Amino acid sequence: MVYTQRTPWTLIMGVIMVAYAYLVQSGALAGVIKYLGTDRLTGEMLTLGYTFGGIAVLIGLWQLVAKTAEGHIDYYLSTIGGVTFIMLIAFIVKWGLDPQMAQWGRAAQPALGFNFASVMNLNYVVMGIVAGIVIVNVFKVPGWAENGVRLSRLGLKTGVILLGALYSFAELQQLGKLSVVLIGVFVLGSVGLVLWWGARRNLPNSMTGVLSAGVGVCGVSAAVAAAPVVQAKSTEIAYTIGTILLFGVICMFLFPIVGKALGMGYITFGAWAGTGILNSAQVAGAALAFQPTGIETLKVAEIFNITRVLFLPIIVIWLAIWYVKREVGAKKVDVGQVLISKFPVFVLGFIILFLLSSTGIFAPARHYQGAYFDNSDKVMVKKDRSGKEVNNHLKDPDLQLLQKEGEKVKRDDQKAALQRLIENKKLMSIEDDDTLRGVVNAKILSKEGNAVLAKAHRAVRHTAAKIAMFRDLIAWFFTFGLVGLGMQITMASIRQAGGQPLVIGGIVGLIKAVGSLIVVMLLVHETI
Amino acid sequence: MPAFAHILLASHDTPGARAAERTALEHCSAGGRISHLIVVPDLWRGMMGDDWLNNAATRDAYGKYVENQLQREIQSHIDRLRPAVLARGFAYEFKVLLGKPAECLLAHSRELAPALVVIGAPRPRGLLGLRSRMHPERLVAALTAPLLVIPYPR
Amino acid sequence: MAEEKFDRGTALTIFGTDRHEDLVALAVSLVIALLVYLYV
Repeated sequence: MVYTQRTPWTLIMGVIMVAYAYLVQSGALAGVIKYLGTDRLTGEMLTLGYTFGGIAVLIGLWQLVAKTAEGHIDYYLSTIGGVTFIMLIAFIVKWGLDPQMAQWGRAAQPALGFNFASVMNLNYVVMGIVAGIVIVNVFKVPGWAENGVRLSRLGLKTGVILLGALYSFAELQQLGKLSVVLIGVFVLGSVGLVLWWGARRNLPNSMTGVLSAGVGVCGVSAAVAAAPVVQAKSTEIAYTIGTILLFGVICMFLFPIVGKALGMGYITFGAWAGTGILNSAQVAGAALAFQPTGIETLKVAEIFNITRVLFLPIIVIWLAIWYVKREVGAKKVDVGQVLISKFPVFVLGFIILFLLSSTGIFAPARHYQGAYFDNSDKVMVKKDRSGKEVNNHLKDPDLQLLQKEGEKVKRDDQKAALQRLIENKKLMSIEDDDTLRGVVNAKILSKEGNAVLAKAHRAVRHTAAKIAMFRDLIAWFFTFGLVGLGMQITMASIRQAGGQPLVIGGIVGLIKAVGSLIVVMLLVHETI
Repeated sequence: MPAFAHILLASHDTPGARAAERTALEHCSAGGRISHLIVVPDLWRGMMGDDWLNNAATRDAYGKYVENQLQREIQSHIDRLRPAVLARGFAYEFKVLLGKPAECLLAHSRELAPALVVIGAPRPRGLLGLRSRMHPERLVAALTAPLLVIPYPR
Repeated sequence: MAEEKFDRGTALTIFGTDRHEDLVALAVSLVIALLVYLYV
């Protein structure tokens, strides 16, 4: 079969991208960029616009003119249209809609009393996923784009593998330990709770089985893995998957809102999202929604995600044994075969990249946390190119502002960190820096106060260029993957949420979300 | 009520549809024919959701399992209806289509040109079932055969 | 279901087997890592 569909759209989208990049380069769009405040993104606008636009123009032209023959070339090139389609959506959302929404949020603030764009986290990741959902439900994914949409999972996996390059050994060890404990308790706890509850209410074993996997481990993925094992009926599958999809979409919006309202830090939020959100794709979505300009949260959340994937085979085996015990005539399972067939090989890729970067080829060891910390006078007071001395210590007006706004800070650790910053005119430790970044993220101080804190942060944090590049690339891979995954969520399937799965799944899901929130707030500290 | 020689019956084994089945059997004329249409709603296309963690083998196993499960449920439905139809001396045939219920019914009815189309009424609110409704208004506007909507059994 | 439409892969992936996809993801990552290592 020939996969390439003759369409002018790939070419058109390519021309749009190239034209946009050219307009940015020539300065014709300077006014727009200034209005949207996106000047720091012009670099990627040019690179990505020319790269993807150029490829789309070439391939689009070729597909329009040449006769395509069946084969590998046809098959793989047929994905270009869809990839361009997703990238164009991502461009529009990240470079246009995201900053525009922020503007509208600020403009509507006096009328509404709050900034809806920032409270609801209407940033490019959330809007990208929503764009995917809207496209598939309202317009349908165009036929020529279907093959490219099927690359979204590759994008996510590549993102996860690349993420491996950004962990330090200590970080991985501690996050790994934390995630095994939290996931272990909450996954096994919620699977057990559903099984117990289902038995008490005399629900069919098949329904309880598929629901417990879905609510317990990683949402739809687990339900998909468990359904054949427990021989679920068609309606049971439909109710369960509908419930999980509905719950997942709600969580993706609600978690970041709650996280910000509680002033959670990157690590606490990542741990909470990684434990409490049912569906694994939405964990990444929520982490990026919480912190769209960095990936500290994503790093934490993804470790939890990987731990969940590793728990999946265990749950499938548990359910299989449980089901065999309760149903006569159920097929016995081969434990070894389940373990091998369910093992996610891309996790090995993550480890390979981690090992590779531990050799220090990308940046010295202490750079891995994203940016390394240095507050010695050597970097605080520097000479710029013209030989003039630049002092990065906070100045008196900044300090007075912080002093004045200090009372808005309520938590003791945050108060103490702020006090130390004021006394020393610079951040004194990584812990203080992380604590105060939490203050910035929770928007406790005024805009000016936050600007001062950000200045103090920039003065002591120095990012290795290679690590910064990795971070940007990872964010793009995840954006690509998540927009594509958004296109897999259909309203028709969400609407099937119902029956006992909705009741039990909703309640157990809620218990898990709230329970993990409490545990995380009590046990997890902001620094690792 | 008159008898009809060729009845198109849309039923997917819900209580409402079973009421439609009984009516179809009552109103088929001697030696007549009942064409049974079973629609597998296209909501099943979305039933893998946004799963991305499973490997291809697991997704395949799931897809095949769901297909087989639907197949088994349809087969047991047919096995129940067919003897009842044949016992009354009518001819029986069935067709399984994947898509939106109303569209499938319209397309199939155009193809068969039956004397009567029988469906069950939409499920009343509050009862459990898949949400994939057939809205009678749409059918009424587009069908060429007379349409009989059987009230939901209470 | 969804697979019917495709000779190869499933609705979510263009690759025939999962190992294949994982390996491609790893290859892409390594190429990117190399490029970052050389040019950034």
